[in-house]
Amino acid sequence: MMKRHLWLAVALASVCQFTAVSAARAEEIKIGVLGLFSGSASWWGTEYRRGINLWLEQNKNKVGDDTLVILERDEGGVNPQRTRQLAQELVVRDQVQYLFGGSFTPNVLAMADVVNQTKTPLVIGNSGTSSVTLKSPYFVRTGFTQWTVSVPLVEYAAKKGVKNAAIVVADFATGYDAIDAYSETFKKAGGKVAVEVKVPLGTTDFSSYLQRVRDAKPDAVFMFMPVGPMSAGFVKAFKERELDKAGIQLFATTETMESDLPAIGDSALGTITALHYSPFLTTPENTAFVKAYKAKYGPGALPSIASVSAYDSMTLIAQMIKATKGKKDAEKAIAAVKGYSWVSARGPVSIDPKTREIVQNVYIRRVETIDGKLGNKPIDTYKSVVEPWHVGHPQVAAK
Amino acid sequence: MTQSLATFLSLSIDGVAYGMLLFLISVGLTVTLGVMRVVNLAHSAFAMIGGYFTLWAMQRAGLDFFVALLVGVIGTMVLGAVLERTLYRWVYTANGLGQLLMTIGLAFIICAIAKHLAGTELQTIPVPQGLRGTWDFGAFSVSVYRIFALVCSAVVAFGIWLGLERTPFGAKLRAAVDNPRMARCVGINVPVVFSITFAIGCGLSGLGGALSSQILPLEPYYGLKYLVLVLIVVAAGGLGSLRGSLYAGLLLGLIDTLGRYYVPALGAFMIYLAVLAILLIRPQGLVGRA
Repeated sequence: MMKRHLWLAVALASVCQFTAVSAARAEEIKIGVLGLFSGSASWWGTEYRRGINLWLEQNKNKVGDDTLVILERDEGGVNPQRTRQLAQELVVRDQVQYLFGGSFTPNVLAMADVVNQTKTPLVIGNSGTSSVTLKSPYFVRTGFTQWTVSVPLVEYAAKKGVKNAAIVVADFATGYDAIDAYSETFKKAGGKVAVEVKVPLGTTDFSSYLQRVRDAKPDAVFMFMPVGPMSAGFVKAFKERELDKAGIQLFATTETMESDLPAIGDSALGTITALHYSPFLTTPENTAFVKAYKAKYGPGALPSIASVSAYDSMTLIAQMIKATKGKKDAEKAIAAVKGYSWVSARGPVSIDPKTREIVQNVYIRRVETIDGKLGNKPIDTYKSVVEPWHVGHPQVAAK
Repeated sequence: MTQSLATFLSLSIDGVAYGMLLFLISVGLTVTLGVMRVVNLAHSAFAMIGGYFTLWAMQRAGLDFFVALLVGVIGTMVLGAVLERTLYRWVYTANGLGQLLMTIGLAFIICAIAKHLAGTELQTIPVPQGLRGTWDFGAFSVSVYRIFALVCSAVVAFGIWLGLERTPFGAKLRAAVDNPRMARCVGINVPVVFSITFAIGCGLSGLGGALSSQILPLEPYYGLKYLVLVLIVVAAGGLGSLRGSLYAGLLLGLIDTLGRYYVPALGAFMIYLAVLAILLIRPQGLVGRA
């Protein structure tokens, strides 16, 4: 009698174990998201969240049989210590398999140790500094770098006959990247840099700096300011001071994003910018993306570089999950996205196997009134731009 | 005229206009601090409120710039009066530290409400066509809007001086501050005088916030971000001194603007160095009461 029960117990237990094993395939995969969800830059967090949620909705929260669970954490500003700690908690305590996020370069750099020690792939949504991806073999960038957009911008300007230009940038790391990118490219194209102006972070009164530009008498200004009060303020002040009427053309990158255009107002009209995305691209992929975005977030909403990069990052993470069959295997996951290509709302993209930087189109855009609102209309395309800093500086990049 | 002289002239005009705007956004604090002895750290939050009221009056009610400016100022005054009657009653009775904590707390609350109502995007108040662009005088040019802001601030400065020194209300206010009990005895309604003064202070900061949005764009964190600017103008001028704020605003505006051009390496630090120098030489501020 005892013996029969024992057999039954063993049989039952083995059945249970079997089901447990097969259930393990349809598991929850946790993704830690680090974004700016509060503070003056919380626009980034909102856009990240929108991009992710749109992707999750379209894919019913699943990759194959695995369900994706998103754990959001708030970086709360330029805050490397906090970001590092949050990343560590996410990986160690919450057992996330993938990390996505990082908006500002210092925060991304702070995560490098955590990522390297725990072998957790981090898909970087933003951070304009080129050297960031050298800090960890598990970093993949779906955003852009200041070099990626600066080089086409300057080449376009040179093609249009700009010979003598001023460079105005904000005084911090990405600003130095911008100065290097602008002046190297411009000198290579035969141009002359009339003056380089570094504007301290937090400046809102640009009169003195614009006076220096005016005194240097250039044909054009290449600018870089962090998105927000500085960029809006500079574009406004440029027009208010009538530097355009003095024959100076303004060239910019992210500064005229649709979210900031209402604050800049009509002063932005005619500004030429280079960026890897515009909500007014007319490709079928982007039309569908914008339509889905508006359906979910309201008719007045427009996707941006941040929501597109969050959406694309989810595509990339899904690819990693497929390649590793849901298991935690950073080497295999990263190998699976090297060279991976797909068609994004921003156009055809792929991940450069050498640098883990995204290869993407860069669009030359002009601020125009589109359907009664200000927007960036694409007027020219630089196809499949490979991150130029890595290409042009192999010695530094190899270190 | 040589190029360098023209540059110096345009920079000086910019500096004076910037200084006048600094004076305008801090003068309300000078008034409440000087006459009522209240350290109101929520002051620049009222400047932000004035800016948002003006913006919404233009965007949502479709009002003209100047009408909207008036609506913004009056709206801020009414809100200030209501808050004075309710919250600031307690602030008056608190000691210095209590006042600081209560008012900075209020500033945080106002910022959170503004973020909820207005979103985190930057906003600037659209300026009518006539105030845009520049006037060119041969080699140098000045921005029309800056001249307009300069004139507005000058009118406000003169108006406050006139109001405090030359009107019966000004006399009552000075009496109420110097000796509230005696003022009551001679029939002055001290609480009402204080309410009106506080409301005027708020209205002035509201005007400053609306006019300066071209240089200091509106955002929900405005109230905390530019508090430092307001405080250094008030501190360098001498706590509560109207003339002091005017001098400090002008001096710091000029130093900041000229410093950024001629000493770019020091950039934004010039203004702090200047404040340091002023306070080292005159710890009571430019026109401080020793």
